[in-house]
Amino acid sequence: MARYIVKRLALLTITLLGVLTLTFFVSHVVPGDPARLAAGVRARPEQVEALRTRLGLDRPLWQQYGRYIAGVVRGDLGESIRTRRPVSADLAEYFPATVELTVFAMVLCLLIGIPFGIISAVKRESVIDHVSRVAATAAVSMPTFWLGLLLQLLFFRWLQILPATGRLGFYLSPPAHATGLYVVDSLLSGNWTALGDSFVHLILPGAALAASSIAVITRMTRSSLLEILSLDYVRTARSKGLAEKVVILKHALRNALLPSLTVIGLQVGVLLAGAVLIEVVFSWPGIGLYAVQSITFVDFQAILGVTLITAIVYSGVNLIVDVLYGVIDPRIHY
Amino acid sequence: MRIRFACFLVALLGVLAVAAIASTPADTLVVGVVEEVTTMDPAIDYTFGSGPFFRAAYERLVTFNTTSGKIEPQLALSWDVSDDGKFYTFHLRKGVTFHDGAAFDAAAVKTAYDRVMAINEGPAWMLTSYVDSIDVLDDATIRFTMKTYPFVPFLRVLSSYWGMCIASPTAITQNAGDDMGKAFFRNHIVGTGPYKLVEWVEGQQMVFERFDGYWGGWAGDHVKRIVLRKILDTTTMALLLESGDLDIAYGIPLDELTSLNGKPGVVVGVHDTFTTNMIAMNTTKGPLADVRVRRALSYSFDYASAMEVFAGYTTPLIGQIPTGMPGHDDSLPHYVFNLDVAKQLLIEAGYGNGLSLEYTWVTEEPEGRRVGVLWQDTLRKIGVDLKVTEVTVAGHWDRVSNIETMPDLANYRWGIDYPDPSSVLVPLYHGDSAPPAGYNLSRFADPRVNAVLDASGKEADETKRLQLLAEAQSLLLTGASNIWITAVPVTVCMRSNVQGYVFEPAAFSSFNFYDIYKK
Amino acid sequence: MKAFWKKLGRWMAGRPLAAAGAVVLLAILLLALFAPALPLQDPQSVSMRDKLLPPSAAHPMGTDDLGRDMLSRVVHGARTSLLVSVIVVACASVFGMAVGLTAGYFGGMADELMMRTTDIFLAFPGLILAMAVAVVLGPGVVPTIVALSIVWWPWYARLARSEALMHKQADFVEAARALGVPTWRILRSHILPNSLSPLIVQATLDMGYAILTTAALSFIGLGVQEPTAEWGAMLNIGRKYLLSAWWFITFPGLAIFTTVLAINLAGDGLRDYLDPRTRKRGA
Repeated sequence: MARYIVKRLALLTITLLGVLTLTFFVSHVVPGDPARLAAGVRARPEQVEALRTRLGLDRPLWQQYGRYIAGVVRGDLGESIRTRRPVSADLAEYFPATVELTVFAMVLCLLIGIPFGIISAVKRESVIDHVSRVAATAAVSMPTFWLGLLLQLLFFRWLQILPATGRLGFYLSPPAHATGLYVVDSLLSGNWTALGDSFVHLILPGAALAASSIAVITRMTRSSLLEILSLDYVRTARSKGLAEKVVILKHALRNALLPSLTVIGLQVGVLLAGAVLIEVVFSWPGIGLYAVQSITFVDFQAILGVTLITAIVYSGVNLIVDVLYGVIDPRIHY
Repeated sequence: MRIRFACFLVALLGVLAVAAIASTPADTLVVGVVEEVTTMDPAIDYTFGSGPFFRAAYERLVTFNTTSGKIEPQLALSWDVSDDGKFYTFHLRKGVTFHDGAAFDAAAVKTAYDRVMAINEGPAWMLTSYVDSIDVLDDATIRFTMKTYPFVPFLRVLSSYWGMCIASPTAITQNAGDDMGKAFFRNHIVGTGPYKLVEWVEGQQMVFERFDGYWGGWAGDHVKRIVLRKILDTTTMALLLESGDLDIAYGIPLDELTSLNGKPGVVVGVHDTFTTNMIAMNTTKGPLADVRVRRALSYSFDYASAMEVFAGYTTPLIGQIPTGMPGHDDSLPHYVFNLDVAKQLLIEAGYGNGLSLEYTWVTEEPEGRRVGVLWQDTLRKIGVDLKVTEVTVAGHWDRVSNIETMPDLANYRWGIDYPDPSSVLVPLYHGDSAPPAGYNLSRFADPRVNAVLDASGKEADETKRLQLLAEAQSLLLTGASNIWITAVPVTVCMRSNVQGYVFEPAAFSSFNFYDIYKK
Repeated sequence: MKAFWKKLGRWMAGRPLAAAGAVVLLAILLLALFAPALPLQDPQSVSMRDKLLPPSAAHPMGTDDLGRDMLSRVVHGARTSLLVSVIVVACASVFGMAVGLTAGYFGGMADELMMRTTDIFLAFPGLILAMAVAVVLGPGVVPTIVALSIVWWPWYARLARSEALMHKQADFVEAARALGVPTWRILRSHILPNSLSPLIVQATLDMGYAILTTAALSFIGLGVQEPTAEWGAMLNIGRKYLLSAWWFITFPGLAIFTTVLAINLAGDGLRDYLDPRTRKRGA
């Protein structure tokens, strides 16, 4: 197992290097002169040249690449030409918002997806099963960002019960910084107003983001549970006269969730990708919004930073899922 | 469990309801702004986002009064200009202190401006291009020696709030570090202005409090605190103003004003700025090198419908200089929408069978899309095929700065650097101002225009200068290097109890906080 | 042939949802195909006086911010969305298949190289890469197609590779190799035909996903340009009028939703019909 993890980590490093290389060269052929943008469109030519030298943009591309990779190894992600701050500082500010949103969406997925999956499996071909099937197909067919807009229209514009944008209400200051996740921070500091308000702000973006993943998890839970329920040992358990509840919850569910684990892991990636659009729709100050702003500004240090961090999370989750799979299922050996 | 959750939800809704009826404290002015702030350093910042806080906390030697068109004293009480225009000598206000307690004197001015010139970023060119040296004559007297003279608009240059804000010499020397204080001044303001910065939560808000040692004193009506809230979403901003959570909402898009019009307690304000919106025609190549085609296009533009893009709040630009700026002349001729004339001119130029052109607009200026699509639909009728392309700011600059990639037509905006017509005409229309030196995107080069513009920079007599400017504008209209659309309006909406606000088209994103109070 | 249709008909009757999806999809295809011939208003005709009108008899879906008829633009938008997504899926699957089959068949270094390359592409959310590529290439229909194809081919490469691995051990392939049949011919006449069916099923199912991603790219403002009607681009503009013009975002979104739903329902049916073992991919 340890050898497997080490091998995977080595592969992961190579992959990340590849990701950085790919993004580096892609973002350096983007039209637009970063030195000119950083200096301001009205800067005089000599000012632009001075800044170009300072940022190292006058060097050959391979040298810039070398310097960048060397910097990344030291933990220095360069400076954003848009915000004029170290990219690592920007990421530290924006990333927690994305984490909070994604985790909230994931919790919704599990809280709704798994119970509905179980009910659909147990009451197979019932009304609930059919409704959940149709709802699931509908949810994966709906553009995330459109769902977000519809929710805003409904709950913010018409019913006026939920806020449409941002992480906190207008009057509130963010809770004392510990993790950057407002819900956690306000819990830690006992700031109940901020807790309630940041929670309320999570509802719409979280629901919009989670919708399609809830559908996938529901269907996955249903089909794997059905598969397990037809197996011999379940039938044995049933024939021994165990209550249906016990059979399902104690015997079948654990094994049924195992294949779901991969799907759940994959959904983390789906949520991260969807977060880009949701953050734009809900003005949610996470790395998705940061990425979109950076891309239109050709702020490639920032783009690289975002790419690196999403790639790490994405591949990291896949690795964890694979390892957990091995831990839970003794039949799998690496 | 279920009941408890319901209670929780009810409590949450209660919190929201309370928030909905709250209003701002009487001695605090809460302003919603849209622009991103990336640095507060007066030596570096060169954006419209800085208007509000520069005006609150920093001061300049002189200011420009839009109503009278005159330069007025601020930190300088009076000034003399030598006859040849080589020396500008300022007599400074006494008894002025910075927020950190440092005294304001001639040496402070020199330290601040020398720093701007040494850093040489953003706005520094406004000093480095014109000023040869700055000399302290005595504590209260400072002299600027000019590089090229006479340069008549210089006092107006000094009234710009980019680069001309004077920061505390103590703060500059103590925090110089190895970057000339750039790290410090990025998030600190140490000026002489009426309000001092007490908090900046990046991307969220800035809080200012009254500076007790302000030289102007605190008699009369003023507010104690100013909160600048960055609001990402303008829809939210409009709702916050409506509910009384904001006193002033700056930058709500014109199309969204319909939701505020007629709401009780809300005053909707739309003002024309000194920023102008044009479409540059590439005069160097293709069909647009022919002035007849450019004139045809000028006649093919539906000016009245284009104003609808700006929600009908503005009027077509007459000449090149916006209304309210010295040199603006309503009597200048202007193009009108006439497709027959346009078609006739195209036939004369040999394009009776049609032609194909590319138009670009910049993402951050969404009116450009609608102007382009509107024009595209009009041009179809006279056989001109307009390809409308969206570009990012970066892409725009990349394309227009290279003559090979310059599109046939580029929608762009120009905000002035200082309130003088030379800040419009020279960078946009002088033959020497082709990018990257200036912003003459059409590469229009008419020796007569160049000569008149050069002369107007040296003409100290205001009447003669205005004649020269009128001549330049007539020549430019004949040359039809651009479609002149309009002066860009901005919205400043406020609660009806907010008093004393005066809009300044030259510094449209700023507020005269010291004069604003609440009834 | 007749028998095939009969069989298909009977099968469809047992799956009403799939049948409904297929019918709706067919209707959308026909609408898209014959949009210019329909009695609709000119989707490009601007009228500033008529901007942002709510739905009425004259404009059943209202008008946009330039006074253009939304109904006409939504119908014409189907042309763009369908065209772009068909081409994207075709390009990505053909390229991915070629790479994947070759790598899978030859194994060794070629295989390792392909796997590591696809690792890189799959290591971060495709939308971010597509955004970066779209910025490089500039806006427009063709850049959108290229950007999405670049992001998508690895999925097909992986799938094709596993098919190739499976089939290269097959007896008939071994036999062909023993007979000295040239490698490219084995690939073309043995491996490819046998791998095709799961790939086609996957490609069909991906059509809906392609429409969603195309719309997403335009929604961010990096995709299709004016005056071409495209659903995502319409949502991008309509978002600014969320509070004042609900119809502006509602109808284009509904169009995307209906189309993708129809594709998914029909696609699920097709999958069950052709190849019960393919699973839908996660991302």
